[in-house]
Amino acid sequence: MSWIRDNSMTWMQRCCAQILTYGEIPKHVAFIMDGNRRYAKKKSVAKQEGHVRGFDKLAETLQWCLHLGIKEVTVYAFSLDNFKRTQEEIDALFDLAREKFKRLLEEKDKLNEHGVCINFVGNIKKLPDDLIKLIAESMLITKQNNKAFLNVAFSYTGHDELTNAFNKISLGIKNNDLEESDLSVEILDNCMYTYPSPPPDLLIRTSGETRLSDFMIWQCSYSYIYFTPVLWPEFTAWDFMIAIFMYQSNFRAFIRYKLPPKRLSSRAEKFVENVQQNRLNSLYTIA
Amino acid sequence: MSNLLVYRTLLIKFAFSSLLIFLHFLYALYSWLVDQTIFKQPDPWQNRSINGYKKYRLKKLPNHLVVSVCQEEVFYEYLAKLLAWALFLEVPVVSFYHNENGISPEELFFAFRDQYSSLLTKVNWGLEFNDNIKFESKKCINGYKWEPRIEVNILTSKHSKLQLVNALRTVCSTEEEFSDTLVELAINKTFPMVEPDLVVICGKSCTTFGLLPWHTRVTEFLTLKTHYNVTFLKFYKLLEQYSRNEQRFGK
Repeated sequence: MSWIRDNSMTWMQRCCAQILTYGEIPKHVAFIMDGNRRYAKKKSVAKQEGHVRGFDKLAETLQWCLHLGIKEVTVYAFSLDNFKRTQEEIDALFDLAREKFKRLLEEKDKLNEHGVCINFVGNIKKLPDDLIKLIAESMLITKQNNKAFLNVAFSYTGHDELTNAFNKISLGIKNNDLEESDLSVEILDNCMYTYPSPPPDLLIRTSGETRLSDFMIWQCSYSYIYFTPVLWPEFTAWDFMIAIFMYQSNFRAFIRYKLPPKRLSSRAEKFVENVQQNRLNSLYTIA
Repeated sequence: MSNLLVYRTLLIKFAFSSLLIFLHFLYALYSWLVDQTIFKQPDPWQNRSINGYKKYRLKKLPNHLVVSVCQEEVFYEYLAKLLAWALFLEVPVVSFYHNENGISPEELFFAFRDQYSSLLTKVNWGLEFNDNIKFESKKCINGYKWEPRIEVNILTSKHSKLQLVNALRTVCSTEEEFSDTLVELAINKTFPMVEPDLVVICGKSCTTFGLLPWHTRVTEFLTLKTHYNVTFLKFYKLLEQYSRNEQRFGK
């Protein structure tokens, strides 16, 4: 199945979506796509089939987001903790990822036409080499796009992200690129894998679990978290619109904390720029 | 002609926006109705019996329960009740969080003392409670033995993202490269804290308000619409829901 597909909403759903757009629409939505294996078990099909359905649902959901005018989406595809699963399952998941990332490269023109920028967040060094190469290539071919952003958290945990940011900053201090007075919430914001995307406004977790499971623990401080008991492959446009509706009735509780970020000192700005440049360079070397 | 078109779009816009506002109103009304408690509900400390204990036994209890009251005006009377009920259910650590330092330790202590003075022997006043309060507490239990079974903390803006900035400040000049465990150690050195197992978010919105980002990676978040007039059964149901949830840790 392709990354870009037609909108699957029925006319009734489109009508409701139209009504929703007259309220506040989140700019950035994050998804924890949980429940693929439970879905497979429920339908008595192979685990792998559950993951394939999960991907199809992702492509479908991305269309709904575009339809509602949500510009940025972040999805939790593979956690570093998932390395604890059986080797067989991990291999199957990576095979699926390979297939989908290759498909993504084939659909380059379509993605550029829609202006979709794809960004992988996470510790990609822990992945097989060929996957890393595919990831770097897909990021580079779409990096100039700015109409819609898709961040895929792959080989990611929030703890790892924070540890990585700690390392970068302490290295900066040792090399005298930064001073201790530069240490602030903002500089940590700017050293996250997800930089420069803004924090999510709405986080949706399917399958009834009520945890973040180490996903964007830093960024989700002032987000509305919506837990739904539906399994991810069974997530419908109705569920999605209910989540948006709930966001609309709740965002006033935390919106005042979402201030525009404070300016960093010019020294810190230069440091952040360097970090970004280094990351881009390493992508070029891999691809 | 173009005027007509403008009017038409305006009319549609008006109709759709009012429809959306109406839907939100209906939902608010519905959730208010659902939340009403019609019957008076018991406080387990008031009518204790052996049966009561058995009835409220849970399979799994949180080691550290955080009650977050960032979205509401703080009512100490009810916070004290929550504390007493947590003690009844034998939760070892309870913390109350407000992201803008909105909870006063003194008032919480006085509210608890006024309602449950006989339970003061079982409480250990922890973070943010100054020596005066601890002294006052000791004075009140004069003659009885102090056998703390629950620790109470108040969490403030220091326990949000700033906590990590401060931890970073103390360790940024160390030589080694950080690993997860090293960061953990650094944070534990600056802010020793048991990872919360359950956070009860009071208020409409399920939002963490920056609470302990490092410690809440696998914490369960449950919502309680308001802590004002909270009943024991509502609180108990939250803990029951927690005891049913299973952790998988990525597996």
